[in-house]
Order: sequence, then structure tokens, then C-alpha cells
Amino acid sequence: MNDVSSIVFAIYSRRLMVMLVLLGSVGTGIFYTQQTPSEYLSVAKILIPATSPTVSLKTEGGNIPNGPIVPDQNEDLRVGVIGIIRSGAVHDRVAKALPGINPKTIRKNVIGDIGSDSFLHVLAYAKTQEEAAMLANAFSEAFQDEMQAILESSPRRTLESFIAREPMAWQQFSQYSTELVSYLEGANFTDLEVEAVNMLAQRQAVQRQIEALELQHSSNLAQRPVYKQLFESRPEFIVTGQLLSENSVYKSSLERSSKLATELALKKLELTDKHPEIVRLTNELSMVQARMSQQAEMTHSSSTMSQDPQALSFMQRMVEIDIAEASYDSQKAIFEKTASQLDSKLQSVPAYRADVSLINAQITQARHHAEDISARRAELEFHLTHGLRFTMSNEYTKALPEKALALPTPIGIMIFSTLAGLIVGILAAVVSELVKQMRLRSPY
Amino acid sequence: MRELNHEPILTTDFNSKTSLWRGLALVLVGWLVAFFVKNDGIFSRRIQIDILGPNPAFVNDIPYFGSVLLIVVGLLLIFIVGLAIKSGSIDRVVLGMLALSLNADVIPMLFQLSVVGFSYILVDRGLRQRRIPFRLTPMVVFMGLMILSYAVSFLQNPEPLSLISNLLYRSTYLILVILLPALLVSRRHLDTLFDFMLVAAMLTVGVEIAQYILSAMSGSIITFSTSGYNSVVTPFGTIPRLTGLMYHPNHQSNILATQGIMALWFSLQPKGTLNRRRRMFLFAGYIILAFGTVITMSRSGWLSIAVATVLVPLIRFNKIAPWYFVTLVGLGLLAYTTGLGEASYKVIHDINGASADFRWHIDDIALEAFFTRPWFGVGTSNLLDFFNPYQLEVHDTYLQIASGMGLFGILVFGGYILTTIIRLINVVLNPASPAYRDWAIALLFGLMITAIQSFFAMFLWIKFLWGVFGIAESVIMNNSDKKTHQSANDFIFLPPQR
Repeated sequence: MNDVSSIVFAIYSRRLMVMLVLLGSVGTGIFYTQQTPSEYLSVAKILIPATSPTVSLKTEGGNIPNGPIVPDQNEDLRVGVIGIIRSGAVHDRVAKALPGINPKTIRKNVIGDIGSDSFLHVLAYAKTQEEAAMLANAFSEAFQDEMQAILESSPRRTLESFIAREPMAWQQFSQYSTELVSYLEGANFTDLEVEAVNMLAQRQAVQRQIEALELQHSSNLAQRPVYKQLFESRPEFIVTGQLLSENSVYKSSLERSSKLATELALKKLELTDKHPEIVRLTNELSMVQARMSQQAEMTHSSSTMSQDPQALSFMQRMVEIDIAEASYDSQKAIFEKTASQLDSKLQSVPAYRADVSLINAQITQARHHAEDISARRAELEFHLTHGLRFTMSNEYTKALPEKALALPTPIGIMIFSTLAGLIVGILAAVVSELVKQMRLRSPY
Repeated sequence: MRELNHEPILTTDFNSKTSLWRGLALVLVGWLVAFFVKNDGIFSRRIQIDILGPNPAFVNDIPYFGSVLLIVVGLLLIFIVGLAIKSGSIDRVVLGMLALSLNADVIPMLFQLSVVGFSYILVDRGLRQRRIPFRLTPMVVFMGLMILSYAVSFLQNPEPLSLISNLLYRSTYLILVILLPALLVSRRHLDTLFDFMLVAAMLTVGVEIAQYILSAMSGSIITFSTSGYNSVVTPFGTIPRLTGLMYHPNHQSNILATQGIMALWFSLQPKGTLNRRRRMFLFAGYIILAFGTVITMSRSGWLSIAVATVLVPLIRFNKIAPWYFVTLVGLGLLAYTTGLGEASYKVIHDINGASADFRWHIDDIALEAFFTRPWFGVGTSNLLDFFNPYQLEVHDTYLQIASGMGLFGILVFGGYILTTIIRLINVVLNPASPAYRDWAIALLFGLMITAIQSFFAMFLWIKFLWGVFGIAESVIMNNSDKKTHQSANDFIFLPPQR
């Protein structure tokens, strides 16, 4: 019956087999525990920050390379760091620092790992604790030096190129400045913008004057016939003054009418309107009033005649117009000549302006470029003098001889030898049982 | 008396000298174990760093890791040998190893060990029985032509020796087409193998879930695939593409979808042909494997299993097929008119949309390679260097054949596939028993899954595909084999229990 109990029985029936394997395993394990420790493991730790330091303190132009190029600070960097370790570059550095140790031994016995605490662990194996700790610490220092050298290699190359380019940049700036001065001298300008503005204002004024002149000319041409017509329609002499005196008939009539009116009014107080006295007074009053109306109040005694001032003014105006017309052509010619001179000067201003702008832009760019290079050079020199060491380790992360781990551990050997020996023994027993069963099932 | 009764005689008595040597050998084994443990104690950490890298998840700097592994492997071997003893022979163990290896590319040498196991069984039984009832499949002709087609690549590669290792291990996959028909000579064999495969597939779904949990716990994606394929960007965030025990999520989806749909087909057999327990087992297998297909985030896997799942009831239940078909058409029209279909397509397309888009580009390169060298192609694996600056693999099995092996490859591989399909259809139409008909239809569904997915990924050299072909060949040959197996001696492999 092939159930679990039969398998257990099969193992039990082969207990000698299991015991022999276990004996061999445990016995050898005890022997090895007497030989331990055969090696010591010392661990030094290095912290690699997630971000690398930057060197530039300000943004740079497109012509200037950016800050130092470092490996990406993430898990890939850690793999990259392990790759650097495996490349042997650090081992070679250690070999140079420790000439008494075989480089092959260093390569074989020092490895890098990343611990669960995210530190880079430098594992050094050696026959003694002191040697293991020394190897680990030497490797740790050498690794940090190597990383620093890697980090600095690009900035150093950049610095060299900056040192070479800095004088050239300033020289370029000087060249452009000189070019601008020469250009302005050749164009006969001191300050192009100001002079251009002035010329433009002047041109505008000339244009206004030309327009005013034209307007005046048109006005004169229109006004002269009118003045002429007005002048011809006016008399040469006109009465300029008359002397008048008082009319005596009128005066006496006036006195008489006043008397009659007063007498009439008094009589009407005593008499009726039909009384002959009243009628007589009324008729007389009306006759006096009629006489008054027939007489003028003043009578002309004498008059004065002189030249018509209006005609004189018309004449004067015509003369002015003639004078103005006489000077029109010459004035216009002068204004137009002035305008054309200004125009020709102004036409060349855009070209000058473009050239000057270009030269100014070149000067600005060259100055920025030179200033940036100077600033970066100073910056890089500052940082490289201090060193770009971005990895960290201190006395707490260094390997100590007394903390070196003895390998293999006696208790580990005993436990695993016993367990593994037992398992392998049982396996041998069940395999033996299987082979037996396979042989039993074979037909004969 | 023993000779008269013809009972087996085992050599169990050893003389003292032999016993001594035997004892010393056992002690030596013990010594070796302790020697291993001691060196493991010294070198374990270094070896872990070399093999696993500087900072592996969950397994980092474990002391005596090798010894722990030795104990675990030893226990596993004890378990496997115990199973072999319990079952009476190593047949089931070897079959189980094959079933697991078809579902687990990541376990090294498991497939090769199973092939060695089969070979041992054949040779051992054959020698003892003085005959090896080995049925050679006629498809061996196609096998030879395939090797020839592959070998043309040696003439086209500037470093032909680099192709040898590929050819060697891919050839072992082709062995399944010859080996399985010789071993799986009855329906019982086929059912046993399929049960083992289903259990192994469910195990890989468990591994998928474990991968998801570990990824969630650690914050980084933990699968067996490379970082280029282990995650997908969705509108809901980045989701890991789980691979189970395979190296690529598309391969995982393919094996799960194929076995899942076969399980579904078998579970829907008519009443009376299947007991309730087995029906539940098969249907649960389908559910679990379909879930496993979904969580691989493989769109080609989703498509193929969805299409196959829709088709299975249509073919299985003939009476309701028209109504079922009408319902499907109605649902499809509803999805189309409401815009749900288009919206769903857009969401799925946008999942790693760039991945979908770049495939058309690499397919263009593959077509160009085919038209440049139409007769024999540019050689397997040489498409990486054919105007292919990004070294992209062609994600289409058909184009992989065309570009790599040209018209000759198309004829050979296409001919093989077509012949297999035609022969399976012949089994459906002329079954020796309803069981073989069911098997043939199940295999046709399985091949349909791969046929659909082959438009989007490469499956030509996946051993699972050749395992399916081997099983198909077994079904075909069992169906056509008129011999009736009566006694245990008729079975060289996995004889019935006495």
C-alpha cells in the first residue's frame, strides 16, 4: 500500500542510511567549526545622496555647457556604482594605496553591495580582522575618491575650456566695441537716435511750413480777385463828415404847440368840447403840429469828403498779396531743398540703425558671454578647490576590526549541516525506495 | 519457489565489502553536504550579489542562502519522490513536470528534465519489455523541413555559431510533437495530462496574484518580465502586467486562455458524460484561468478568450445556437449604436497606445524584409539588424515566419499547421468516440486562441504551442489507431493501476 505511512516506514527501514549521511554531515560540520573562522568580513558603509550637487549658481546661455554631468541618482545609479566597483577601477586605486597587498587578492576579496538600509556596503574579506577592516576602509576611501574624480572630470575639462576661451571672449567684446565706434565715426553720427529724432522734427516743421506756404498761396490767389472787385466797386472819395444846425421854424412851432396844448387843457376844464373856443384851440393845435411835421428838426449847414478807407484797405491788401506772391516761389524752393536734404539723411537712418543695432547686439552678447565664462570659471575654480565630494561617510560608517564578522559562523555550520544532512539522508532513503519499487514493477 | 512463482527477485543482500563501500559513500555524501554548507557560509553573500544583484526585493543578503535553498530543494525532491512512490512509478511525476514546464518558462531545465524522464521511461520499459511500442507521427517530415528551414539562417547570419544554442533548445520543443503521441496512447493519458496542466496553470495564476501583492507591498513591480513589458499605463494609473511563471505577459495570457477555453469546453459536456465534481473542477479552472488572463493586461489575450468564450456555447449547444446568435448580434448592434463599443475600444486601445502603434511600424519592416528576400527570408533573429535601428522584435507570428524564413518557411510551417487543423477537423467529423471529438474541438479552440494572438505577438518558439501540437497529434493518432488497449503491458507509459 503506497500511502504516506509506507513512505515513512521505508524511511525508517533505511534509518542506517539516513544516519550515515547525517553522521558524515555533522562530523564534518564539527570539524569545520574547529577550523573557523577561516575568514573575516568587514563592512564599511557609504551614503550616496539621491541628488548630486550642482555647480552653476545661475542660468547660462546656450553656448555655455551646463553643470557637471553626474550619473543619475536613483536605483540605476546604484547599479552603476556597482558597475564601477566591478570594473576594477577602485580596486586599482586601492592597490596603489596598499602596495603590500596583491591586487588580485583585493579584486577577489572586496565587493560592493547595497544594504537594506540603502547604504552602499563595501564588503572586504580577509584572514584577519585588522586586514579586513583596513581593506574595507581603504576601499571606501578609494571609492569616494574615484566618485569624486568622476564627478570632477567633466567640470575640470569644462574649466580648462573656459580658461582657454575667456580671453578670447573678452577680446571679441572689445572688437565689437571698436567696430561700433568706427562705424559711427564713418556715418558721421554721434548719437544716431537723438539726431534722427531731431531731423525728423525738423523735417516735420519744414513740411508744415511748406503746407502753410501753399495754403497762403492758394488763399492769396483766391482773395486777390475779390479784393480787386471790391476796390473797383468803391468810390474814390466819400463824405466823411457833415455839420447840422437847429431849424427855427420848427422851434417856434414847437413852442406854440406847447402853449396851445396847455391852453386847451385849461379851457376844457371850464368849457365843453363843442364850445367854439375849444374847437378853435383844437384846430390851431393841429395846424401847428402839421407844420412841425413838415419841418426837419436839424438843417444841414456843411459836409467833409475824403478818400475811402475801405478802398484803401482793399488796395493795401492787394499789395500784400502781390508781395507774398512774389516771394512764394523762392520760399517754396528753399523749403523743398531743405526737405529733400533732410529726407536723404533720414533715408539712410534705418540702415544705420540696423547696423548699429546689430553691432550693439553683438556687443551685448559678447559681453554676456564673456561675463558668463568669467563667472563660470570663477565658480568652477571655487568648487574644484573645495572638491566635489558628494558621497558621505564618517567614523560611524567606517569598518572596525572588532566588528568584523567571523566566517563561517560555527552555529550556522552546525545548524545547517545537521538540517541539510538530515534532508539529504531522507532524500537518499526515499530515492532508494523508489528505485526498489521501480525494480519490483519490472516484469520478469 | 520464487522462481516457480515468477516473483521478482531483487538483489538486496550486499556482502560486507560492498556494504562498507556503500556506507563510506553515504558518509561521503554527508561530508559533501557539510562542505557545501561551510563554503556557503563563506561565499553565500558574494554569490547572492553576483546572481541576484545588489539589492533584490525581499531576498537581500540572507546568510546561508544556498543551504536554505538546498534544504528547500531537498524537501521538494522528497515530496516529488514521495509522490512517485505513492503513484507507483515516476510516470505521473514526469508527466507533472512536463505539465508544469509548459506553464513555467522561468523554471530552468524542468522541461529538459521531463524529456529526459520520458526518454528514460521509454528506454527502461522498452528494454525490459524488449519492445518499444513507439508510434512515429507522419508529421516528422514537417519537423525535418522545419529544422531545414531554420538552418538556412546559418547561411545568412554573420555569426552562425550564435544561432546554435537557440536551435538546440528550440529543437527540444519540436520533440514534443514526436514524443507525446508515443506516450499518450489513450484518453486516460490525455485527461491525466490535461488535469496536470490545468492544476499547473491555476498555480501560475496564484503566482500572478502573489506578484501583484509583492509589487503592492514593495512599491516596485515584481514579475519575471523585463521593465519594458512589466507595466501598462491606463486611465486608472500604472498597472503591473503579471506574468505568473512565464517571462512575458502575452505568453502567460496565451497559455491561460488556451487551457481555460479547453476547460470550459470540457466542462460543458452533456449530462451523464461527466460527474459533477469533475465538471465543477473544469469550470472553476476556466474561471480562474480567465481571471488570470485578464490580469496579465494582455489585450490580445482578452480578445482571443472573449471570442472563444462567445463561440463555445454556439458550438456546444446546437439547439439554442440560433437564438444565442441572434442575441449576440443584438447586443453587438446595441453596443455599436449606443457608442459603447467604440468607447470601449478607445479605452482599450489607449492602454499603452504607443505599444499598439509601434507594432505597425515594425510589421512594415518585417514585410519589407520578406519582399527583399522572399524565398528564405532574412534568417531567424536577423530582423533585429534589418533596417531596424531600435532593434524591435516583430510582434506577429505570421510575419515572423515570413520575414525570418521566407516562402519556404511559410510553406513548411503553414503546411504543418494547416495539416494539423485539417486532421483535427477530420477527427471531429469521424470520431472513434465522442471523447476524441470533444478533444479535437477543444484543441481547435485552443489553436484558435493562438491564431488570434499571433497577429499581435510571437508564439512560434514557445514550448507550450508545441506541447499543444503534440497533444493534437496524440488525439489524431489515437482516433485513427484501431488497436484496442487491453492490458497494462500495452501501455509503455502510465499503465493503469492494478
